[in-house]
Amino acid sequence: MFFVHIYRIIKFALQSFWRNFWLSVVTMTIIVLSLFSITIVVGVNAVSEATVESIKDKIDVSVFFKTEVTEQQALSVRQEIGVLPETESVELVSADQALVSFSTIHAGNSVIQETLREIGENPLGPLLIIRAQNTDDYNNLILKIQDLEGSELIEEIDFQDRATLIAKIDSFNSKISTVALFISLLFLIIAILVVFNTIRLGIYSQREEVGIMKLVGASNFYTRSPFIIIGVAYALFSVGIFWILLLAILAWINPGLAPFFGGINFDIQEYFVQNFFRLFLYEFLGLVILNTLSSWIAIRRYLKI
Amino acid sequence: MIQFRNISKLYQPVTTALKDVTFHIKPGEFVSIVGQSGTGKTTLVRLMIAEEAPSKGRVIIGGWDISFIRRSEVSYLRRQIGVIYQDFKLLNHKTVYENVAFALEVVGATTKKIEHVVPQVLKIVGLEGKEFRFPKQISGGEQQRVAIARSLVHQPKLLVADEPTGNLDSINTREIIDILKKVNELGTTVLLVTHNRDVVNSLRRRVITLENGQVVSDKENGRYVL
Repeated sequence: MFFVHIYRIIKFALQSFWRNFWLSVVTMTIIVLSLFSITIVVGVNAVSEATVESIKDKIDVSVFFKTEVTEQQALSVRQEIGVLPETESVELVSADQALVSFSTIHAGNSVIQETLREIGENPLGPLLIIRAQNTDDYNNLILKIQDLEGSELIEEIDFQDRATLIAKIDSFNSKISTVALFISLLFLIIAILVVFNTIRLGIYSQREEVGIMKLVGASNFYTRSPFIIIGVAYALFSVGIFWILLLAILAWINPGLAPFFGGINFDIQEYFVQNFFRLFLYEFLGLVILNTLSSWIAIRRYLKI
Repeated sequence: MIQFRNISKLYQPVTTALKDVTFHIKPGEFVSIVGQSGTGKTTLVRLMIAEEAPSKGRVIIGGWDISFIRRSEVSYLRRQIGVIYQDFKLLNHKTVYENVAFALEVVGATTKKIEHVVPQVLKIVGLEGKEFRFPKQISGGEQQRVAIARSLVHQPKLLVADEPTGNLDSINTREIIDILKKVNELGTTVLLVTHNRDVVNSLRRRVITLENGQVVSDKENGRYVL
């Protein structure tokens, strides 16, 4: 009897789905559009995070040694800095490398080139390029470097301008996250209202059948179940259609997006492909919960017969 | 079979549909409940099938006090009571056979049982040969017969007919009343709610008369006296 019940519930659900085919199409279209809205926000958020990460990758602290400091002394300081918990990487640039690099950068500046020739010897000492684990760690790291045993060998620590940049990035990132969250919530509320009302409309169009079901002795479980199944079917088809469309659109527009992202190392198509299962699952489960709740609430009034 | 004990039904804020209604219907009886429009006849039917709860008093059907029945138990009650209405309440996209089978399908009856029971009840109401017609392809009287057939599939001990002839001409009315009498002869208690004077007078059965939500008369072999 249980399987007979389940078979008839599914049959009734499919009949309702096809009988209200255009309403089903409208409902799924609205769900797909809502998914697009929310996913655009997710995409924008991912791009912003990638941008921030890309800029953070370019942040470092330069420690310039005095000109008389030998490479061995610089290596010893490098070892001390390397073991600090805040340090991610330390790169030693020798005095010779520093001079080559400096000359290359200012190759077109005749005054600098002339000055270097007049000095006759290397005016630069070795330097360390340090990256911290987190952007918040830089200030701490600098304080620790200043307290090191070899700190008297250091001529200058260059970080001032970057500290301001880091603060700006953090502030920008925080604002982007807040705006993205707000927009996502807005779209979520719109999606909930739209889905709830379209499901209600579907049940309203079946009210006669539901009423007769109740009058001839159908249980609330039997009466309610087909609409829950329809809600789950809406979720599955909508998320499926959405992902087919999204991946097709991304495959089409992605080659043209590379110049848009400039120097940022970010591939939006790859991002969505890599996160496909996670996002699909979240969206499907979210919609199942939303549709089930909508069906549950919308059919309540017809169960009172 | 049916006991109404001091039943009152109030609708907020001040409408009193039924006031202190008491009667007892024995198994196998054929009882007409009569009264003009707005006297509480339909409210009485709603209380019997637990579509509404009484404001005061007790409704007992077959020994089961349904005055404060739980929502989950209503479906079991309705499988024991057949109900037909003035507007037939048929599904136009289903055939005669499917409309009748629907009442069995929704309670989980097996296909074998449906194939056994549906032709039997269609035969009782005289609809053999019209199983595959849609409601719009048959007359009003035949549509009401489909509704009666549907109400009989659960083999109810009680059949409640709420103005079953309200939309029918005199010939179809006579046929429907004859079917209800036949159902009663087969052992089912029949409760006919009507304001059709001719039908009630021709039956010569028990008549309960309602006026302003109160029972004003309850007579064996009664007549329509309002």
